[in-house]
Amino acid sequence: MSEIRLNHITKIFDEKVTAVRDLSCIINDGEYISLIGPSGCGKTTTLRLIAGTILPTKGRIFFDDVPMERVTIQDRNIGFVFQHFAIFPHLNVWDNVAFGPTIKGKTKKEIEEAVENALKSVGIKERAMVFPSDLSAPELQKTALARVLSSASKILLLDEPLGALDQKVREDFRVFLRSLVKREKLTAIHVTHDQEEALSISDRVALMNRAELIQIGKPEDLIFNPNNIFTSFFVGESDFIQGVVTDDSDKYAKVRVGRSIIKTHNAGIEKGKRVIVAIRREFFSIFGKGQDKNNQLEEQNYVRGTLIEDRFLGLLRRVRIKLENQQIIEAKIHPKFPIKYIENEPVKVLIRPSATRCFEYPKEGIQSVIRM
Amino acid sequence: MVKVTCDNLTKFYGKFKGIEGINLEIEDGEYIAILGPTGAGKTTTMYIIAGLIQPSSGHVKFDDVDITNVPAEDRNVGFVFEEYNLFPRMTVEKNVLFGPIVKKHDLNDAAKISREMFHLLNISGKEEAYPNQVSGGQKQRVALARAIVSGAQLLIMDDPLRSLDAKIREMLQVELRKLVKDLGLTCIHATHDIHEAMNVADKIAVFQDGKVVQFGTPDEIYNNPKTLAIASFLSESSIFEGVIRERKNEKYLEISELFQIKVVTDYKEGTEAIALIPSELVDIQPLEKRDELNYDNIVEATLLDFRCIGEFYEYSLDTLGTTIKGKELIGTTFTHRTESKVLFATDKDDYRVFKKEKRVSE
Repeated sequence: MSEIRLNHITKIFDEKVTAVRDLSCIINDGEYISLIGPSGCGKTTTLRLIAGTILPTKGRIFFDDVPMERVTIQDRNIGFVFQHFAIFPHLNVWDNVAFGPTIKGKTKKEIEEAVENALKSVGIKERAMVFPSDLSAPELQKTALARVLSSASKILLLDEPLGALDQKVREDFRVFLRSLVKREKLTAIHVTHDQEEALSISDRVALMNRAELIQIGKPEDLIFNPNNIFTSFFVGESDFIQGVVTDDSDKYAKVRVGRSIIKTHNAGIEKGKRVIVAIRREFFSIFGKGQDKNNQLEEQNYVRGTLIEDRFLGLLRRVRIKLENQQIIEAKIHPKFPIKYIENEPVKVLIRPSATRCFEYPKEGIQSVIRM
Repeated sequence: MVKVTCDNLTKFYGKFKGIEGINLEIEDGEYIAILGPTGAGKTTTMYIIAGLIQPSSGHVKFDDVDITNVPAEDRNVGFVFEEYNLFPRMTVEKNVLFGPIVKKHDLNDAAKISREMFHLLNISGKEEAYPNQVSGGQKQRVALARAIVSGAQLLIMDDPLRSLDAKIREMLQVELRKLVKDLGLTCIHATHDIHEAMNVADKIAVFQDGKVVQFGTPDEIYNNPKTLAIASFLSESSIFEGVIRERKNEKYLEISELFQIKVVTDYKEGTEAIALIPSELVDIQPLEKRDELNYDNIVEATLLDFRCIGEFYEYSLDTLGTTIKGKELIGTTFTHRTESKVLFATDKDDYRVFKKEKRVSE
């Protein structure tokens, strides 16, 4: 069992810099969690607090209900993997992996068994006698992981573990890492700046900004059900349309945007209030001149605009539109979508009510909320 | 505004070859991305254009005038590096005005342009701050403002967004392109990131091993990569190996007796070939839709797994022992279940087909 509980954790450095503020969450036994957020948001500090390399200023940390304040880093049974491997250069793979059980005073037989199993589990058994200078970057990272396994750690802390790998290798390594963690029944906490990596590898993702935990949830929750403007802004790409609620009595709320009224997600915000409607860029549909011959859209949910640019980006096309209220939005469409839009063409942008999220307009303006 | 020509540029560092036979024509006002992995010769080429190093042979021309021997300070080039290179003891504004001060330009004019740049780059209010008091994204905006305020007509940027957070990087890519276009500058931007190159540039020069291996618009290089190496560098693809077969004026790649895909290629019957299909051009459909679909290739497959990774659903399929990777924009509904039977659908002209070289099979 390795459940980790953070209870109102605050970390202040030098009595003035708050790196983590009042963070509470439970990481379940066997769960794979990623911490994401802009540089300096407190994710690495959180990882170090769990490891015990620094102590919280306020709050408590529990492993399986045992408070950790008096437990040293060596006794927390934690394995660490960093971006830059931290492998002993003068020891071969076998000796690197044997290091943990050796200093723990295990018998020769126990050490051999632990190393053998660990190397087998990460798939580098045939490289046991090779020295680090002859290993590739993925092999070095596998050695670091084998070292964690041989020490029988049940908690794995990963700080940008794929950071030093090439893009193509990184994608394969994600699959390997997730299956290793699940097979070995580890509890893993993975810090990364790469959203795609976090979303593809984790059971849950925790988003931090400016020392605070903003939202924690399954990847789909962060993408489809952001519960605040910052998550909407940071995870993936969304546009924010400003409007005023004109009807809050139905399943979908009605919001006035310029001259149009659109149906949006109903967040229980009262009629007359100013709101921000967040829409993910993959969810816009665009209708150009002549594409709405029978005015079939008239009954539906759309805003008018003028096309600025239709740009091919390989994986997708990015279409930029200036709305009637002068706001610029972007839609992401399939690269082979059969219609090529023309500059300055008047367009209608169809909005699916179910794909919107509605938030009360922040008192200090939207910039105050999305500041990183 | 300037047209830049690289004429057969070669650079040796001792015995080591940096670049070889680089020919590039960059039109006035064009935004070019130089794309390639580390060590491909991107930085060497840009340093030669800027005049920071001399080529071993070949020429650089600005507006058809040979400037190979003109010193860097007389080339009117603005350079932006990955590491910002701001003067730490000068305020942000003094950094930006450094060029005009040194060149003894009219400071009133320069200050006016500088104010406009601060506004345009969304760093107004930071004029009196020192570089260590602003964020990475803001530092890079200051470096950019400095390059532009110095009156440069050619902007050269060496992986300018590399050390920034992904989110800021995406935002700055769009801003950068807009700014360069609004000001009508010619721009050369080196990056190792394919998406960044596609996002910012009018044309992309793909560099490999010190050479330009392909030069064209994002659409041209992505959809018509010249070699297997370029194709696999540019897109995330599934790869099929087989033999070209011809029947009734159609070409097929025969992967096994049971598995053939219709492709478009000039290679003749019997040629050993490799076909790539980028993940985003794979479609996945329920079995019952078979009769409604209009694709050249429709094959039954098993859905192995799928995950939502942000803007895409990423999935893998198994077809007769071959694993295929697919990507679907999240705006569409993904209703398939793992382990279920589905249809794997593709168009013949979406496959990039290359003759199998011996080197690949070894």
